[in-house]
Amino acid sequence: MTRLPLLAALLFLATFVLLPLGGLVVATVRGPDGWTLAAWAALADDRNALVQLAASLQLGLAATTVSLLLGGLHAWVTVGRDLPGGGWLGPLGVAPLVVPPIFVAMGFADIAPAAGFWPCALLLGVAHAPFVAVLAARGLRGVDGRAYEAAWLLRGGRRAELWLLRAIAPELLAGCLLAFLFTLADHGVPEFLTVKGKTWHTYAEGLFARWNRRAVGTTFAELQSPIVAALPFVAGLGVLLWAALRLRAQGPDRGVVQPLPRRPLGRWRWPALLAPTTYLAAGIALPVVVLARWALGSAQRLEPMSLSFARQSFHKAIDQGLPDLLHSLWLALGTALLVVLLALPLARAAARRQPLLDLLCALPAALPAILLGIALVRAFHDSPLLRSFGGDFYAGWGFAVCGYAARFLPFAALTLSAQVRRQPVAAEEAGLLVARPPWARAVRLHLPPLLPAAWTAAVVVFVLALRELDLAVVLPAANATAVRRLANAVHFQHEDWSGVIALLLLAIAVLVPLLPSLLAGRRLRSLS
Amino acid sequence: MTTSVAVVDLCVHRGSFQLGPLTFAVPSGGRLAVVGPSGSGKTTLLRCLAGFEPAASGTIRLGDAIADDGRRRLPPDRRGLGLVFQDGALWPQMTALQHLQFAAPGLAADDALALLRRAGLEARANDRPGTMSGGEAQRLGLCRALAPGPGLLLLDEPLRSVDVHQRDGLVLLLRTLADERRLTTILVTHDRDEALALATDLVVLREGRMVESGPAQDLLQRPATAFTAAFLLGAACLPVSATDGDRLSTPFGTFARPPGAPGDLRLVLLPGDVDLAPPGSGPAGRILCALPGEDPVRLRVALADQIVEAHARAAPPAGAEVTLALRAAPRFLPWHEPTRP
Amino acid sequence: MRPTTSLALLLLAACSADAASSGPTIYVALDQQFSEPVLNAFAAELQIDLRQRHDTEGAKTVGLVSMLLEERDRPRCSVFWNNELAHTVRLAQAGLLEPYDSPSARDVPAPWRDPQHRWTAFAARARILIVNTELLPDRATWPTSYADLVDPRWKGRCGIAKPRTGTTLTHFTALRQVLGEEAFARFLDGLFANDVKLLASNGATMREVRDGKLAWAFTDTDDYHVARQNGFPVACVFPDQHEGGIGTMLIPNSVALIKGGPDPVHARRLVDRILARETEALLAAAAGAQIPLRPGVQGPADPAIRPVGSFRAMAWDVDWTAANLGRCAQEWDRRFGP
Repeated sequence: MTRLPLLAALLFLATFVLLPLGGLVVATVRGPDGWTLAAWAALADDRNALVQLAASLQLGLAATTVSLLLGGLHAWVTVGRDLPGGGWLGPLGVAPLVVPPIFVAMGFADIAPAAGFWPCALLLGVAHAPFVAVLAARGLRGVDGRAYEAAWLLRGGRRAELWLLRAIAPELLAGCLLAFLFTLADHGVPEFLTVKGKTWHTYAEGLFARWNRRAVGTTFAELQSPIVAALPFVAGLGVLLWAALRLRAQGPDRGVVQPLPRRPLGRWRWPALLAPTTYLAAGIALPVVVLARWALGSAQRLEPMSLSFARQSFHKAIDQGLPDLLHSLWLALGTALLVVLLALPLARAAARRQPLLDLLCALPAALPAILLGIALVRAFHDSPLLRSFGGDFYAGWGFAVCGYAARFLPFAALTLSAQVRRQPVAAEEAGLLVARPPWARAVRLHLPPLLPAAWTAAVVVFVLALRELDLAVVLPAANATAVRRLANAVHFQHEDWSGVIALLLLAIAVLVPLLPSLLAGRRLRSLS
Repeated sequence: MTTSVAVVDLCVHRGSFQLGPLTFAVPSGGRLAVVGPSGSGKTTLLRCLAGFEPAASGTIRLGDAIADDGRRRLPPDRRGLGLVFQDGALWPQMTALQHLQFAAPGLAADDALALLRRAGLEARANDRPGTMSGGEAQRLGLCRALAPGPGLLLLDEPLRSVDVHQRDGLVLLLRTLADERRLTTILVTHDRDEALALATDLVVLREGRMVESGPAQDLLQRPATAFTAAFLLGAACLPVSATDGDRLSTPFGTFARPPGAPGDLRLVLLPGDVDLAPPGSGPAGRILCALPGEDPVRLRVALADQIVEAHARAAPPAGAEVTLALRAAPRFLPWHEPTRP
Repeated sequence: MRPTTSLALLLLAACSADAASSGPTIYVALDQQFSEPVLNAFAAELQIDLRQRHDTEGAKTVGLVSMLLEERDRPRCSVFWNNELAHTVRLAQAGLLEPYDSPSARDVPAPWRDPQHRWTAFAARARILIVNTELLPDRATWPTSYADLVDPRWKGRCGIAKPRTGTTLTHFTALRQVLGEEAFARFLDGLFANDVKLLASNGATMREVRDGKLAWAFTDTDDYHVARQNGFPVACVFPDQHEGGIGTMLIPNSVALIKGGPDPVHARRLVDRILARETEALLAAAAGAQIPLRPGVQGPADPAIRPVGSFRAMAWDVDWTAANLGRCAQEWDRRFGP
């Protein structure tokens, strides 16, 4: 009974991550006529796949640099500084996370030509900057102020800042790695930019294109080549993740620390405001303003923008997109719940017994969602196991939730395992001496200290699931989501009601996590 | 019901650290302290007794039951013991009352409150540990350990996180409650005073091995090793080197090797074993400070890399160079391998 | 069975879409905004529990076709509503379609009905030239033929989507058969020589023209119509209408029953309803401005989108196009790049 939740979570990982991924790997060497290395051999000749891979890497590096600059600076000037308004600008660092990258792309594309490589890198960098901002802020809050003061005393203010930078390097690196992984995995934004006349492509796009055209004039080797190209890449990202986890494990124990002293910005006090305002303007304000303008009628030329136009847009949006919005909401809620339920036993096992479980849980983060989606479809669309249950699990909400949970499990599992590690082992051992059934210990002793982290993880997963596009376009069961409809709609110039749906989606992403937080009297900062 | 403890040839492996083999027994109602410096294996031993660490070999017997024989292990919750952890290890989400009620299923609220009252925590019954002082937290830890009525109480350095002015109160509470229940107690600590206040018998550990054991008074009066003398009595232990034949060379001169003494001997200087002497008559030391008191004046003197306590009629200023001399015949003891069984 | 296992199975069942008890499933390649309200109305009218699966725009029809081929052994789709024809014919050639002679299809002109009743076409889009009227205010200067793409007069000022998917793939494949291999090869070379802007989709070509970045481009009538409705300065030219010209290509929607798909009884009724004349009228009146294939059905309000019979239509071999679609896609994939 005590091991049942862990076994269930491991079974889930095996079923929804390892099995599909293994199937995908096997498929690259299992041709229609038996075992073959043709697909691997063809990779060298598939210039498209290699060019796309190179473009993805360049895009990842460029976008991550933007994320580092925007997110890192935001955290640097808002945590422990005398920045005017820093007290509320700092916690707002997490807010742009609710804005899906495709919305950021819509916002940028509306005000400037966004067809080239650099605009794409810029907007993806903006979209993923919250990862850096949130983790850097967490790092800064975790630094022992006394150690910083010691460095300040001995080496002066400037050297102390360098010391601080080194102290939060693991968190900065982790944030950059997340931004990098999300940029590489993003298929939606580069695909959206094709409507703007983009002339270069990423490997996630290549995967999607080949997958969609798998039955239309492609050979086995051609069909497999983007997957073949992706696999070593995914393995490389896995190694990066492993390195990041090791780095984090070697970090100091930051259980009880004195906060950083309030550091004066001096004559930069007011100019420094530019960092958070740019970060928030690019990450939230611009997309929201553009979406609002769309709703008001900015994307058409028949009549001027007006509230009456917005009303029409709203009615169209409700008419067209309400079921999708609700589907998105239930899907995100289901995913958040399932992910937390799975992550709790996994995190405990990883933190207390099997540190390698952390890597296993983190594996889906290295996979482009498109690849994960393809693997899931391949593994389950005709699964006799699922068929034996009578209903069509594959086509239902449950399968979509499982797919999403597989994708977002790393965020919850890593958050929770870090939290478990912070809990004193002795308190748990004290529980072992008590003659109570294991479930009573789990519920009364182990769970309560993890609840704040579980809530944070649930919120992050909820928001990420709500904004997920890549998996939504591949998994049939997740097709009817608001973000996918929006991505389709902008192809057809339905910006008016798309703007309203997007704003409603943002409102859900903000309000649903915020309401319980406010009701429970928790501050926004707790989410970051 | 109290529980006797019998440990026979116990070995515990924890990474590269190896504890044991250890053999000792605590009779029902007995009070044993396991003492030793950090890294000596005290806490590992306690955790093994509690069931958190498996024994590699040997046997732990609690009362009539075999708790661990290297193959089968009784789970912690079935050993009938209570454990007071070093830093409380309390459950932050529970109030004091909830701690007791969770720890002892079926414990009536009145009984729980009575126990809290005994510990002076009645007013804190509905408070969580986060709001408590170190002393209060440890009292609650004690109440939690006692609530289910264990036959054996294990104490892991219970005074470590407690302020000096709260220690006596906690010691008295521990003694009173343990005595009332005639509890067998096993304490681990590196603090001599804590050990002597709470235990009648001692086991001295060093690097996973038992150095010596026995009644506390015996060990205090006749330590068999220099290590025990240093640890329990604050003795300075000066290394000696063997010269030709059976002579031992020390800073105080050359002396005959005691008959039957092992190879690794130390010159053990208990407080007061050294006096100030005229210059040139003995080794030179430097005054660190004078301790309170007038006759004789007790001085802490740096001698080589040790600090010895010398007695004098007057206190030279701190930093002054002085000459030391032995007051009585030198006491040579093996470093940590006792010569007697 | 242990209670926890039972609970897991119960949950699994609860999360499943029960195929046995629900009605038919339709896969729809037509833009969701146009097709969904129509299908919702049909489902209500027929009192069936209809599940709809709409294509991702980025997949350009082929996503659903690939899915249907993949699901060959376990069909999940009852009815396939394709927004073009060639891929439906491919599915017929692959043996995935169930013949059904719908009574609603009796008045659909013969070329748009499969003699074996495996598919029926209706409501077409035309492959037209979209022209920016601010850049080209004089109608006399407008392009008039596919051949204008390779006319040096328009060098670098016109565009077309890459023929990798969607209607452009069907268009180019049909054009290959209509022009003949040699002439078509010259045409392809000419595209590159004339610096024609090759874009990812018809939507992208329309935007380039709408925003004045290109003077004109090939696109579909629905893309043109939405731009026009939104007030952009664009006009529509039905190409190749001159004497001896190859004519404008019509690419109709098509509907077919999937062999072995769920709830075939209701699926047939749904096909009947989709093929009704009113559906063509509805689609003509919608933002997509589809052109009815049947005479007498009310066409789009925009007079620039001409009714069938009022223009020279390109005669293309549907079977040949479908049979050669894969080969051409493969070939052009390499030539045009991603």
